[in-house]
Parts: sequence; structure tokens; C-alpha cells
Amino acid sequence: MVMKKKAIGAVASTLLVSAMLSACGGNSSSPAGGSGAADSGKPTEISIMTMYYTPEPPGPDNVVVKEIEKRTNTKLKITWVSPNNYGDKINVTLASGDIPDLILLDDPFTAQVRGLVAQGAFWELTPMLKDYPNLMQYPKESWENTKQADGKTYGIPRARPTDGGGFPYLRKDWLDALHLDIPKTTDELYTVLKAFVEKDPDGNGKNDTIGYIGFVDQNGMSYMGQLQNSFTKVNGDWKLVDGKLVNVNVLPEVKEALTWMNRAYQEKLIPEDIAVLKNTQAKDLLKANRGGGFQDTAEAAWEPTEELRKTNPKADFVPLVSLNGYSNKDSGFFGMYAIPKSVPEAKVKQLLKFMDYGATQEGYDLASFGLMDVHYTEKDGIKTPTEQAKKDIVAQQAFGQIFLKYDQYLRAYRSGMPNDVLERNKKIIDEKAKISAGDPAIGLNSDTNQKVGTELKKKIQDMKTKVIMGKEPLSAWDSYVTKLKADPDLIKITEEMNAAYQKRNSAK
Amino acid sequence: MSEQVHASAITTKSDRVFNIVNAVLLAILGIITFFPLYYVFVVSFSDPSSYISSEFKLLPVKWSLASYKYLMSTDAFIRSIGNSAFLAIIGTALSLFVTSCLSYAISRKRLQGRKIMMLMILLTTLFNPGIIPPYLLVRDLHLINSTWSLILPVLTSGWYVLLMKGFFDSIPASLEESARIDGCNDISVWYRIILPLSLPSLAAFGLFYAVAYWNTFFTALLYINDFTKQPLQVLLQNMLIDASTAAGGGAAAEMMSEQRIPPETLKMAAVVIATVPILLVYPFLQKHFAKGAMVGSVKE
Amino acid sequence: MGASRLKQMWSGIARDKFLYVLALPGLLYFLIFKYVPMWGIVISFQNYSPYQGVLGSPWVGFEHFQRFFANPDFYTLFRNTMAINVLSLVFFFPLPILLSLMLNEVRTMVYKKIIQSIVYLPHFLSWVIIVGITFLLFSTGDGAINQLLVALGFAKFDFLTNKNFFWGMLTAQSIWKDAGWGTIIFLASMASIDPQLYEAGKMDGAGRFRQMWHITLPGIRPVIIILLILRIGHIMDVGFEQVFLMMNGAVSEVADVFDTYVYRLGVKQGQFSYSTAVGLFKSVVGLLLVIGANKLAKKFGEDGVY
Repeated sequence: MVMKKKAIGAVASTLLVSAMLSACGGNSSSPAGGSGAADSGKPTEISIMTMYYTPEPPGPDNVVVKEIEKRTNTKLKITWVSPNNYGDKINVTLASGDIPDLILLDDPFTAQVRGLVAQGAFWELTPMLKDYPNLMQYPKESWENTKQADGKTYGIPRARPTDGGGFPYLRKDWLDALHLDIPKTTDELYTVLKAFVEKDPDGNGKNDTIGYIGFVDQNGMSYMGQLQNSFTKVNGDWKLVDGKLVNVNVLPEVKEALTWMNRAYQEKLIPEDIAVLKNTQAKDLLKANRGGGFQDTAEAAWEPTEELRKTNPKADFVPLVSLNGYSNKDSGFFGMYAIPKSVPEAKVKQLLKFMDYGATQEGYDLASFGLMDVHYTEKDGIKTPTEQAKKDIVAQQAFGQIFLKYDQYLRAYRSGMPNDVLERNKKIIDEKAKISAGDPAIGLNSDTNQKVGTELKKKIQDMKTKVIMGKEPLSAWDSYVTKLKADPDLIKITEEMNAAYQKRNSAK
Repeated sequence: MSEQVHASAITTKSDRVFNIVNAVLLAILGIITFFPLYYVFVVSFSDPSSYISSEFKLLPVKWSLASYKYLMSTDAFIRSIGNSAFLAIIGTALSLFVTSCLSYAISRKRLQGRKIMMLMILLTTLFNPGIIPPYLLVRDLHLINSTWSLILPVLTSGWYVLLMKGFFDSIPASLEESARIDGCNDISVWYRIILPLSLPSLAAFGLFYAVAYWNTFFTALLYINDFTKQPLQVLLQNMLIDASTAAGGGAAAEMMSEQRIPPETLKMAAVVIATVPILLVYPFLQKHFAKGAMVGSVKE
Repeated sequence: MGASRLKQMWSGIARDKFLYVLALPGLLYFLIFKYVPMWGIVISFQNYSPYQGVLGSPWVGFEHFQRFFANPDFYTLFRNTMAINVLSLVFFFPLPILLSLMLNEVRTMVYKKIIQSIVYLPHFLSWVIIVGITFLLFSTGDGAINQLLVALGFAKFDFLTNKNFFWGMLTAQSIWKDAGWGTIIFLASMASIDPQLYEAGKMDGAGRFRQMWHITLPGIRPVIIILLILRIGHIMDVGFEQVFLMMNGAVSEVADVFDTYVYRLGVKQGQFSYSTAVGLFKSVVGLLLVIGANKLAKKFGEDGVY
């Protein structure tokens, strides 16, 4: 007991001192091994922090990890973090100063990240990138949209397709049964949904069909988002009007959207539980043959279709190409890998080389699919994972999060999908690419927005939800818009966004 | 003498009515409480493809062990149960020991400085510096990635210390004094008198700590990087990631596309798996919550 | 004068050295793991960046507090937080006591054990599950309760999106989840009551109610008081997860509480300092309330929390 007391006493006082000291600064980080020369000789040690979506993350002895280490002459130390609370993990990591060589920032535009960029925490990569041809293969948008406020690139984006992202899809077999064409405008869509609800398309004698299973949350229009965007013709909250950015919520287009949705709500074309419905429930309703439409990626439309075909081989969910001439062009990325300044410059080049390898077909295939015939079989250009892949934890949801070769049809395919559906999806994506409209405000920074943006957005959305549900009349929306236009925060945000927009344009 | 026997042997009519009303009310409460649990149980045994989460049914459309098989299929599963069990056993033992010692000490009115101690403990329940300072401390103690990072930083709960003190308060000082007069030293008093009288509270707080340790989740996410050391809840939650509660901002839309939403049946099975082991512990502790369980034992 | 006081103190410590030894591990724990990290609270007065650390981040004084109090939503947050907690104190707090009294009176051990085991089970379900079940029962579209209402000829009712019901639903959920679990501590306390008191009571002709009132209740009073004081001190804390899962656009004006507000700003926007400042505000209010409640308890002759 006494021994323990003494020891604890000593430890306690050392702790107090060291805790005070460590509180001092975040960036006294550990140098991440490895000298300069890596090709011949010692493998480069690379530490990475990233997310995984498999039940278990790959271990250090993982087959794919070892193979990649071999081919790139590296020694990898990967910290796989659960997507649960990834943000918290990033924060403590940054605070502790032990920042890995490559760190995945899931959202490059949080106040946090912007602040870090301004504080010089990360390497600016723009001048170095030209030496890495495979990375440069990523679409223009992926690089453009991840530029920070100063027009510079501070990370390697996880490239994602710009087309094929979440958009409405509908029951084609019901359309056929009711002799309706695929709707091209929101008015036509309304007629279709009404028919779905009133004309019992599944023929079960019950009036239990919901036309379109959209729902909202408090962050935004969520699964009703693209329906709103079909009115605003823009994939976000900001629209260019006469060369200037305006928040869509003060525009008449949004009122049109809300009017449409309110009518739909009253006629029960969209769910009564629009404010509380969750994703799983929506998907289950589709699988239960009770929904006529939903918003999701082109390949996700296959999920309920597959389920329904077990009992109804004619069931078919078809993604729409556009509504009102609008299709969504997505940002082209989902997070980016940044390199902290603590990493020596020579090593930065090696890290880029490593990621460049990942952008090749070979690197990507290895990471996402593993070894041919062990982890996957290939037929007609389609790779199908084997059981071994699951056991060895080889998946796009694992190492495929680090290595990526851009695939514009990533949102077209899901395993199990028959070829005809895949080909149709590819065509749809091609059509969409021709007309899709993006978000002019991606990556633009407004300080006021950082401070009060979320709150403002929530309030606006809460009001929209109430109007859709009829808890507030449409006239209330008009008065709300008048208030918004005069809201000092929104005015300031608009000014700042426009200033940033001008700055970025002139910087080109 | 015969009067005494008489008094305790008669169940008066009012007694009987009381018993019946009491029992009926409790039965109603039991049913209301039981029903949703039944539901969770039933859903967990439902076949994932035929279960519709928005429709309410009393029995599964189709029985299936699919969800359980899936959750238990990883090698990590048994290992993580082992990890959680370690925490629940060792952690609880340590926590209970430290908490009861401290709590007893401050319950003795003669202890100088006890008011300051109590205030100091109280303050720890009110003020919270966030997650970064504790993280830095754990790091400086070189406990990152160690199982002890899941025990030491949460070793003692201020609430429990203060609540337990209430229990110790009811052990009168006179008992201690008479024991001391009989020649017992401090340790002996502690062992022979205090501990036996505190069994109900030890059982109660032991249970509270055990549940908390068994459900370790957030601290593990932050402090443990090595997946083999993760407790059960982390593993289960990983299998159940739901996009709708995840990131915000620009990442949200992409996140929606990346995730595969797990079926409800899986979520329910995870709940059952995580809960059953703890449920098995309670019956063993129940006897300590019986009326007058322990008091008689010290009268000698 | 000072010397003899000091001498008294030291002799007291010597006399009670066993007690000090007992107290030491716990106190050390609090010092190391609770007080050392307390420095984090100072970031309420800075614009903290984890990268720059405490010594590197700029100081802004009371700016965050001013921003917080000037926020037009402050009153709404405050009102919602208080409303939910007061409802909880009034309706939730007494129930475990009542329930444990009822359980205590059950004569048949088997029945008692069964009911006991059932009522404490909901505690183990996460809020995600409980809210999920709530939706299942109360949603407008397919909810079981609404189906029932329709079958009985009534109109559907929007339980989940009606702002008049929100606080009530939260309270009901809390009761359902934790009333049973809450009995454990009271039952443990009742177990320590001297059975001879009951014998004596019966001899004096006391019926069950009177025994409960005069023996059982006073027996558990110390625990009730401590718990009450602690709860009052935490009146600014509302269960984040529960509110977060239940809130939606239709009930926004009654649903937002301090903790959800802080979550939006802290976690989602990385505004550490601001969210810590709000937390500090809550802690200070809580402290004042605890001190007040404690004083009040002492006035009534109870042993307070300190």
C-alpha cells in the first residue's frame, strides 16, 4: 500500500508537468521514419489514417496490404478508423500532434480543416502533382472542387464520379402497367405519382402505395433534395443569378418546389412521416412493393429491384435521366488525403508516388479486388468477389478507400446486377453527363457561414418541413423569405460567398 | 410472547387486498415494459429479406438465424467478447474497490477534510473539459492502445461515490465503536462489520459498473487503434453503421451513396447479443436486494 | 493558537490514518484523471485549434459567452432544456421510488424476481432501438397506434410531429427505459433496513401502508435526498442521444436543447471553444443549483452531498 502511494505520487507529479507541457502544442509530432531514397534499399515507412466500411478492418498481415508493400517497396502502418465518430478521432489526432503521413479528411471544408490549412498544417501539392500522371487522370472536377479558399490544392481527393449520384428512380413496370411514359418534368411526375397512389399499380387491391418515398431531415432536404433541385436547376444551396451567387431559398423556384411538395403531401403522394422516416424504413417499403420511387445512386436502384424480382420478375426500378432538364452533377470527390507539414519534402514525393501507383489499374484492382482467382473471378470485364475475399478482408470498402482509379461508371454497377441493367445504367449516366448541373459554390468559404451557417440552414429547413406538411401555410413561407432577405447573417454570407467566388474565378 | 407470534402470523384482510392490488399493478407494468423487449427479440430472429421495418407484426413473417450467424461470423467476434468480459470483470472489481473505500472514508464524520473531498468529487461530476485533454493525458501516460486506457480513466464515478456514501451513512458509528471497544482494529472493523452490512450497495454499484464496462464503446473508439483489442460494442456498431447519423456537411451526400444500410434484423440481433450476458449476471445479485437480507448477520 | 490547532489536525490524521489510506486511491484517481485534464476548460476563453494547442491559440475573453447569451435562440434552448428536465423531475423521479416500494411489498419471491427482471430490461436497450420502436408504434403512416385509431373509427394523430406531444413523449420514454433500473438502488437501500423495525411496527398495529410510510420511506430517505440533489445539479443536462434521435423539423421549436445545439456547433463545425463555453455555462449553473439544493437539504436536517 505504501509503495503504491509513493509510486503514484511520483507519477502524479510527472504527469502534471508533462500534461501541462503537452497541452502546449499540437504540432510537435513524431517524424515518420524513412530517409529519402526508397526505390532501392529500405522500404519507405508510411503511416496512414483512413476509414473502413467492412465489419473488421484489415490487419497488418493482410494479404493485400503485404502485396502492396511488396510492389511499392513500402512498410505500411495503417490506422483504420470506424466511420462512427471519425471526426472525433481526427480531432484528437490533430491535437496530439501524432499526425500520420497520409490522413483522410472526410470533409475538406469544415471550419476545422480550413483553419488548419490557414495555419499551415498541410503541404500544398499543386506544384508537385504534374509528375504523377495517374493521379492527374482524376477528373478535372475532383481536383478543382477540392481546392481550398486560396485556390491551392492541399490534398489528394478520393475521386468519385460526377454523374450517377443520388437522383430519383421510379417503378418502370408500374408505369408500363398504367400506360404512362417516363416523366420528364415535375408536372408529369406529379401525374405519375398520383396514378401510383390511386390506381393500385401492384394490383393487390389495397390503397397502400406511396408514390415517392422521399423524406427530409434537419440538415437539409435530404431525400427530397433532388426533387427540389429539379426546380432550382442547381445541385446545392447557391445559384448563379446574373453572375452573382444567391441562396436558393429566397428564390421563387424553391417556393414552387414547396408548393408542389405540399400538394403531394396532402394527396398522400409522399409519406405522411416525411419528417421522421429513416433510410432503412424507406428501403423496406420499396422492397415490400409499396413505393413507386426513391432517390438514390443509379446502382442502388438495383437493391430493391433484386429483392422484388424474387417474387415478381417484372419488377424494375429505373433511374431517371433528368427532370425539368436538370440532372445532378456531383462534387467528384468524397474526402481527401492530406499530408501534414511535419513530413519532410522528399518523403512527400514518395507519398505521392505511392498514391499514384494506387491510381493505376493494377494498384486499384489489387486494393479493391485482391489477387485474381483467389479473391475474385473476372468475366466480361466484370469482377466478382469470392468468399476468400470476405475472409481476407479485401474490398473496396477497405483498402479500396486508399487506392482509387477513377471510374466514371462507379455508380452504375453493384454486384449481382445483370448485364442489361448495367448497360442501361451506363447509358443513363452518359445521358446525364451531357446535361448535368453542379454546385457553383463548392469549396467556397465564408467566415460567417462557418460560424452560423449550420444554424441558419437548420432553421430554414425546419420551416420548409413545416410548410411541406402544411403545419405552416404557404403564405408563411413568403413572409419567411422576406425576413430571410433582410437577415444580416445571410446578407453577410452572400457577400462573402460572392467575394470568394470572384476571387477563385480570377485566380484561374 | 404469544402476542408477538400472533401479530406476525395474521394476514389481515387489508393485507390481502394490498397484496392483490400491488401484484396486479406490477403485472400491468411488467407487460407494458416487456412488450418492446419481446419485439426486439422477435425481430432479431426474423428473416432479413422478408422483414419490413415499417410494418408492425407480432411474430416474424419468417424465422431465421441469419442475423445472428452474420454477426457471429467474424473471427473478431469471440475475441471482442473476451475483451469486453475482461473489462467487465477486472474493471468492475477495481472500480468497486476504489469507490467503496473512498466512499466509506468520507462517510465517517470524524475524517478531517471530508467536506473538501466531497466538494471536489462533486465538481468532477459537473465540469467537463471535452475529449481532447483526457486524450492527451492518456497519451502521455503511454496508455494509448492499451486495454488499461479503458479502465483507468473511468475508474471511479463521482456520482457513485457520493451515492454510496449515503449507504455508508446509515451504518452508525456506534457499531464501530463497540467493535473497537471489543478489541477490533481498523482493518478488522472494516472486514467484519462494514463490508457485510454494505453488500446490498456493493451489489448495486457493482452491477452499475459491470454494465458500463461491458458496454464500453466511445473510449475504445478513441483510445484503441488495434482492432484485436476492441470490445464487443465497437464490433457490433461497426456492422451497423447507418449513414443517416454520420457526417454532416458536404460529405453527407457522398456518404449516403457509400454506405450499405444494414437490415433492422441485424440491429436487433446485435442488441440481443450485447445484452444477454449482462442479463445473466443479475439473478446472482438479486438476493442482495431482498428486504433485510444482510442486517441480521452482524448481530453477535 | 495556530500551533495547537495544527497539532489537533495532525493527531486527527494519525488517528484516522486507515481512513486516509482507504480514501487515497480514489482521490488520486480524481486528481489525475479528472483534475489534470480540467485545463481544457480554459479554451472557452480562446479560439482554440487542436493543431495550435492551448498555448498557441488566441485568447478572446468572454466573446463566446456574449455570443451565446445574445443568440436569440438562447431562451428557447433554455426553456426546452428546463421543461424536459422539470417534467423528468416531477414525473420520472418519484416512479422508481414508488415502484421499488411496490416491489418491496411483494410476498411471493418468485413473482417479485420475475417482475423485477422484466422492468429493468429496457435500460439495456439503446436509445436508437427505443426511438425506433417509438416510431414503429406512433408514426402516422404505418404506426400501430394510428392503425388502431383508424380501426376504431378515429382520425389519425401525428404523435411524432406534433409539438404539443414532444416533451410528453420524451418523458414517457425515459420512464419506460429507466424507471425499472432506477429501483435497484432503492431496493438495495431498503435491504439495509432493520427488519425488527417492521416487527415493532406490526406489533403496534400498523398496516402495510403505514409501515411503508413510517419505516421504509424514511429508511431510504438519505439515498433519495442525495439522488435528488445530484439530479438538480444536472438539470441543464438532457440526454443528448434521446433528443437528437427524436427531434425533427416539425417540432423544432420545442426540441432543441443545449446539448444538441453544442453538438451541431462543436462536432459538426469544429467550434471547440464555443461549445466548451456553453458547457461551462451549464456547469456553473449546475454548481449553483447543487449548492442551493444542498443548503436546503441541510436546513431540513438531512446530510447533504457535501
